[in-house]
Amino acid sequence: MISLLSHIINGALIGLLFALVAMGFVIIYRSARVFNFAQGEIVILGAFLFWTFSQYWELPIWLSLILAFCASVVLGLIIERVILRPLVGEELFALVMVTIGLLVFIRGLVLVTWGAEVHFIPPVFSVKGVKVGPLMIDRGLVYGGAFTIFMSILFSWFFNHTRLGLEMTAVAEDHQIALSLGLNVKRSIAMAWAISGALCTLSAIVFVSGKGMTFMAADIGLAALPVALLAGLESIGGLVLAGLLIGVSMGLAEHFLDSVLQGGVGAVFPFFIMIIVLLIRPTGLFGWRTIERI
Amino acid sequence: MTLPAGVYAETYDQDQALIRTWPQWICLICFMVLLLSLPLYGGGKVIGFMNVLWITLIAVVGLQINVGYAGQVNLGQSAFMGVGAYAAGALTLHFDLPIWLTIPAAGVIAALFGALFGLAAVRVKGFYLALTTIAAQYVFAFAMLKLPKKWFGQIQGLRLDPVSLLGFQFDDDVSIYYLVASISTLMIYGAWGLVRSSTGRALVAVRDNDKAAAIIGINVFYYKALSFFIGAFYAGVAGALWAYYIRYVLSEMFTLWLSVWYLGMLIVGGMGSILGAIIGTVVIRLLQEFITYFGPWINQISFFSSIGGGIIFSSMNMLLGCVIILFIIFEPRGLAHRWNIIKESYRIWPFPH
Amino acid sequence: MKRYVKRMLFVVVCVTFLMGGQATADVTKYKVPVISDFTGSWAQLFKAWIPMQKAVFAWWNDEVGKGLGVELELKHYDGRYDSSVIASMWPGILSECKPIIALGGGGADVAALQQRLPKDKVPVIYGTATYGYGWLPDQWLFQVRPTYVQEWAAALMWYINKHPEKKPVKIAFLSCQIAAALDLVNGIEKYTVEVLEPKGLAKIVAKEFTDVNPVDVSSQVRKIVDAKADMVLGIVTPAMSSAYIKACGLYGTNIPTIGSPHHTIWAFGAAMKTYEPFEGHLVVAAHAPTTDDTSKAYGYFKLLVDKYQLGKDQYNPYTMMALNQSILAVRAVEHAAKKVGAKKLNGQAVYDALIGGPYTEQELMYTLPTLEFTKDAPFCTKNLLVAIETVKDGKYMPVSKEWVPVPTDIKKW
Repeated sequence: MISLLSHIINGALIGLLFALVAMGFVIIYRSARVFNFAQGEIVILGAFLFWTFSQYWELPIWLSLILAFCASVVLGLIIERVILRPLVGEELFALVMVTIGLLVFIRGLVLVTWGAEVHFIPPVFSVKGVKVGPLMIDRGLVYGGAFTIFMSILFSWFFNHTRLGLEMTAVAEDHQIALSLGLNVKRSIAMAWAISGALCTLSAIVFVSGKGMTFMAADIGLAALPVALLAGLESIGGLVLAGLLIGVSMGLAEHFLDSVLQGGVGAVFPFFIMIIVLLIRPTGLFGWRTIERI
Repeated sequence: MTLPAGVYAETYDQDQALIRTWPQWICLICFMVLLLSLPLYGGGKVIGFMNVLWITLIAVVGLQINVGYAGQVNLGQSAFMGVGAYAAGALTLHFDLPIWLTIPAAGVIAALFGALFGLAAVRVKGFYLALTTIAAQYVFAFAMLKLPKKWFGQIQGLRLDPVSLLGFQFDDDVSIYYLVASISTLMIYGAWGLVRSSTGRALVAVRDNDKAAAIIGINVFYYKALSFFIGAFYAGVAGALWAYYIRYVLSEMFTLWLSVWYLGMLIVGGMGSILGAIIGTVVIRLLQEFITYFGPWINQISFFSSIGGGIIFSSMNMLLGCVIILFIIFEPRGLAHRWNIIKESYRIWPFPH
Repeated sequence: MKRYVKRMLFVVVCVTFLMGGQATADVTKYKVPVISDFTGSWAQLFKAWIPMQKAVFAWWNDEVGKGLGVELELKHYDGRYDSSVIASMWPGILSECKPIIALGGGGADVAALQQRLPKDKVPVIYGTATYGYGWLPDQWLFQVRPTYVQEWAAALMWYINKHPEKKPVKIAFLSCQIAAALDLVNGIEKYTVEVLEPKGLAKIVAKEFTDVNPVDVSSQVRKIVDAKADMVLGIVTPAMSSAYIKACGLYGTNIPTIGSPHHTIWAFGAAMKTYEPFEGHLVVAAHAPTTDDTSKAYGYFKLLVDKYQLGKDQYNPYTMMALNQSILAVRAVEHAAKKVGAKKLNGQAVYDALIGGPYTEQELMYTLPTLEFTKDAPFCTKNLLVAIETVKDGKYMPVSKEWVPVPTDIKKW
């Protein structure tokens, strides 16, 4: 019973972490109609930058955090300007492939700059666990979950109720029409990438604080995809629900099926769910249902 | 596309033909002779390179039909290859079937697996489809580790003995070369025929605008599933040949990164033409070989080794990523398009257009 | 006439030089290909191996090779830990190097090359431990260490003997979905169920799984703690190890683990600058302990540092594997050259030399126990010995000065 509860709670928190990573995807998609396959790599790039600031240059942690955030914002802007701006208006496939190229490129960059060794990230959150009844939950994960919920409320409000956010939404719906209405398309897209960069670093810090990491940790980017899809690629508020659903079902699958199938079910279960959801409701739970016209 | 002066078509067949003039026939025959006699004068290195090249060509040509002609994003080609490899391995090991049966059978089994994901393509498009095919990779890896040991060896993988056909043993690089080259040539020839037929035209129609295609009476559901079926069939055959070449099949050999490389080859070569698939594969493989070959030598140059050994190899990833990005930004239609422009300008020279 | 004489003199001088040149070139050079990985998942391991391999080969060329008339030259190739890349590179390597022996990397090249080596006739030496599915007869692969399962079983038996009050020792598994890890779990499970449990020595109380790069393993650790396990086995990557330590910290426990030195403890200790979280954990390997500065193996290492440009900090679990691999390779060539002569060396001769003679601990510079290969398995199956290290009072050290024997009742799984 206790272990079931443990699986559910931990699963939910891990799902919320995935939702935080997925939020980066969704914000870019919501503003620029680009699906960023390189999200996982940007996450670990943020983590490695934090490592450089705090371990290599041995700056205090709060300063390293601020620098890491700034650096990732700048990174997002650079990527947008150099790689995506030339491709405004290109077809979907080009955009998909360019982010895949970006994924490969950033992985190479990480390998060349930081090497393939294990890097230890200092704990940002206290290592004492949070006691929930008989269980001990990792404090970092709890903070991460709280951040996710807070960020999703913040961004939902931003995109739906502020002028800037509505402009970005309009740009996402159709670049041409937004241009003709006088909206600054380039600025919207740049802002989206900058925000996404910062979110990536935040999720990176929650993910790796206090642990050792290598470049292989970038797989979290792919693992967070089902959450983005389940929520619907345009819905930020839905991410929390989707994250919880996927996380809890992962936990349940691990608890019940791991002993039967000798493990590994947890990792692949979200993909099963994703496929089923896609077949029943292709735009996810809360995605926009666009009407295609000839 | 203009034809050289004096060459014109009088029948439909002539219009659709790939080879129109007798110099072209001669070039083709010389080239085929060159390729088939490669083992006689090429060294071990060349043969090894060509073997993997032929196998990769089959998979990439299949991917081209799926992605370039039908417009369905497919990031799971490597998983489909894996299914073909396991199928061929299992059929040979457990049922002792001859290879002229197992290779097509492996292709069909992989095609069925691929068509399953193709069914998803009917409902979802674009990015969503890409994600579904990524899911195919994970599902494949998971399934192969969990299916019974007697069938697919689980973590041990399948070990195969060299296969033989009509008493001809395929146990060294040269004999494998002939097997792979002949099957590959056949499949590419088939691909060229496929894309010029009504099926090919239907696929292109579905790619360009599937709603409009549905209106004029093309069964979009059928053709989308068919494109995955064909692409996965090619991947399955490639996987079967791979199994017979390496003689060891393990699910960890078929990764998502391999699928990404295949798509990269398509982008570099140019989407939408078989020639593009071939050019892309050859160029990327040559690039990889170049780095592998010159890597240790470049590393020795003191400037690079002072940065740290292996920087050239690590840069391989950066290079591929750069290549993909640069091609998409500056040459989105790939090298095949560039080649066509060169051909055109040669034909209409000295006129500019 | 003068011009003619000048030309003749010139020709004579040239010929003399050439013949003189031939006279000094009485050392036959052989190229040894090394399959490395610079960009794949184990790149950090392979990067550490290269200086060690070069140093050992340079030492051997000077001390022994010159006397025998053999010079070995290393050539590194990037296999990217990907069997398709290695498979396509291998024919080129065969024709370019015509190798008499090769140094392998790990699982990926085993998968790619295992089936074709008997035909190609090139013995390949591996510095890592064997996996259960590699335990096959008539192989041209040679592993310096037995299977991970045998090494871990030795550590398990050592622990059981040291803590007789804990009998039956409760074992929990925490592993992941890669083929290698599942193999380890199967092997230890079979050994425990068939041999240890009937004797009341140990039993399995939990079997948990997680990802290769887990976010959090506290649920799994919770179950392990509830089952009151004494020992956790199955952690095979540094990422799993660090997640496990973090989860243990949450529950305020520290259940010891058994692992291989390159999977755990050392990588962390170096990065975190303290070994404390690993207090009581064990690592085991069938090579000399890297934490012992007084051992004869370390003495050999110091020789390499002093004379062959090896870095002072290069004595660790990673480089030890390269050391083992290289020393066995050079000794194998030495045995073969003594038998057939320097000019007639080929893969078959080296293979026969490997199967033929025992390689004494002294020959292997005390970095490995005495090895004797047979055709039943790619590793030495007789008189297996391992070294166990642990963290005691914050210090990472070996548990004893002598080798610990491996139980002889481990059957194939």
